[in-house]
Amino acid sequence: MAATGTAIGRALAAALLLLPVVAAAQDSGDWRMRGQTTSRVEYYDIDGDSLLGPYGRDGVQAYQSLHLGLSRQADSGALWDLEFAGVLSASEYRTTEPGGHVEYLRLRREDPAAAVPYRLDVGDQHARFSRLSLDQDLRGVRGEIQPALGGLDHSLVWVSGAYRRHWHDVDARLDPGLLEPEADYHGVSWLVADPALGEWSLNTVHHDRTAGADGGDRHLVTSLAAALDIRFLHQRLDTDLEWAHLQGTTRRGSGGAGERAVADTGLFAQVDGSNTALEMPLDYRLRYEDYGAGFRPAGTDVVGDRRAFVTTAGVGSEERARLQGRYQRHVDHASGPNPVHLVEHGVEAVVPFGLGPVHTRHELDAAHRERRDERGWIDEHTRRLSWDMILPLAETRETRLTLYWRNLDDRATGRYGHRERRISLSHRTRFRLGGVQITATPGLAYRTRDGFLAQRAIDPTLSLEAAGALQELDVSLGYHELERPGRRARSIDEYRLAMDWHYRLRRHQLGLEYEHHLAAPSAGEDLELWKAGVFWRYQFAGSL
Amino acid sequence: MIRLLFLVFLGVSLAAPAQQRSFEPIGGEAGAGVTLPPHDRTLVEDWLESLAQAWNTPRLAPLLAPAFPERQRLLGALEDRVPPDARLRVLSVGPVRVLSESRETGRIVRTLRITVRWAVVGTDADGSPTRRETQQELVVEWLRRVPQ
Repeated sequence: MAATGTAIGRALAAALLLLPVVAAAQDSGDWRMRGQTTSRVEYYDIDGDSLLGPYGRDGVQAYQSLHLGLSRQADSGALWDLEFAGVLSASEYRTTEPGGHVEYLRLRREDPAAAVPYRLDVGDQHARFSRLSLDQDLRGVRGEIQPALGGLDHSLVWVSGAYRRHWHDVDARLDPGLLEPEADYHGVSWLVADPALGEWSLNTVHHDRTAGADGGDRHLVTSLAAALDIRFLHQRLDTDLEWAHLQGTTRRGSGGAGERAVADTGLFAQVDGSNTALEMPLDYRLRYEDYGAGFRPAGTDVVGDRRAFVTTAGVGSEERARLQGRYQRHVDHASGPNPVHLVEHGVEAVVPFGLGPVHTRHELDAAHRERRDERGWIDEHTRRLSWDMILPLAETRETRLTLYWRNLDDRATGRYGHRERRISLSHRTRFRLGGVQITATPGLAYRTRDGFLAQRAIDPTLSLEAAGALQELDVSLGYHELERPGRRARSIDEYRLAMDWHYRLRRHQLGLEYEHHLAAPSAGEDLELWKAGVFWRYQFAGSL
Repeated sequence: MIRLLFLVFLGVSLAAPAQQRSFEPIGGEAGAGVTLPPHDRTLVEDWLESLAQAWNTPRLAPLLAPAFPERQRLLGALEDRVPPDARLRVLSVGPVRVLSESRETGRIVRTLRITVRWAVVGTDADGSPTRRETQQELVVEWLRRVPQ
């Protein structure tokens, strides 16, 4: 299937690239071109246990990428637009397989002067009708017409397409549960927009996952959605509502075993409100979601069998002072025999405080969270408090102190309970040396955790940035000491050096990069790793 | 443990506040519908590095937009579920596409879609070092202040 898909993809790419050439003979107007290309060559040298570092493959890794936009707009407004992104890769970090890859290709045709204005998109695109019906990357066709009916704005969209992992170079060796499911999608959406009544849409999508290896879902999702902008007194309310119904069959496992009919509904409602007429601006948000056990539409981010109520309210602004409270309640596996409840409430404050000539800014965050199921297998209580203080000593100097405390009490099993404390302190200073502006930031972070996964870590760091008119040099040094009592490797020491140099000249950019890691665990093999890279980037624009 | 870690991690990519689509007039403005000029990849790469450094620390919260779906739930799950020594690193940055651009008073807001390959380095349940790699699509709102 992968080979057939690749052949279809290449044929589609060739056809889409040729279409603008054919179209050039039909419309007046110039072709405009814009884009960017990057050549990058890197060398990785890994000696020892590579699992201790971020990189797993050594040797030369290189690629050349191209991002191209090509468009032509006639005086009538008729438009051809092609967007292309591709890579010629010999880098295992950039693509799973070496060779040429079309990463994105889409052709758009619009004609506002046609009897019925239309827009046609062919190729890779993000298809979005609404939150509960379709919100998915796919390769296919999207057609839109905007007929003038009854003095309202109408938009009628048809989408047919598919999502396959190998088109997007997704590593299929990963756990299928972590990957987006493969599916075919066909749908129609009718949207009506009115300045007073808002935007309303009726959406119908059929998705079919029998082509993939993940299961056998065939669902028809129909939804009614509305977006309303309501103003009264000094309140502004952005309201989003959607109700959806799902019907079809679901099959788990191989063969036809376990196939069953499903029919369920989903509801989403959200109000974003604000009042900016007050001296201290007020903003608030309420969200409610209720998804039935069988409501699991492919091509969306919806998690079925869940209810949620989330609310936040705040006064003031981040620039001055602000106080915000929040409350959220979630129920997972809501219709199952053992629902899991999550309740959290918290408060955040941003407070400027001045004492004589010294001005400081404080950010406080306190939260309490409970997570429990009805059978008593889960019963966790988390309390958290953090305080962030910024002390600008002058325009060019700033000190930052962060304190963090969190306690998780596992009342069901006692196994996962822990207490974590963090403290970090950094100081940034900026000065000029000739024509170069230098920023130096030394810092120190300390973290300790008792109980489950007990450990202690200390991280001194130093970063230096030197910026001139055309070039910039960044250097960062770090040391990381981690102690984990009871683990096979009780402690580990790590050293890291990273250097980047960038030079810009008009549309060109040249960069040199170097990284060096050393990791020494108290048991097992050490790691020594270095990586050096060079890249050239060119941004272009012009007419053909 | 590592599977749970990835499940939580996947939530980071859900940055798009996806409600229903909007009415976008065909031929509404000159230049509408045309592929927008590419974004500066070096800025994107630097920002992804800072995102990776902030992951699994209290510094992640300011990087998630207030409208990020399940924002508070994700932050809570990261705190309670992910091992404290798990770290995120950028392996490579794929295509960076500009989905939309709007000009408001004193600022330009762009919505970007970024393909990125990550590695999560940490410790498995038995205490041995482990590294997992994955690829994500991030939707990022990029705000640039401009002189009025």
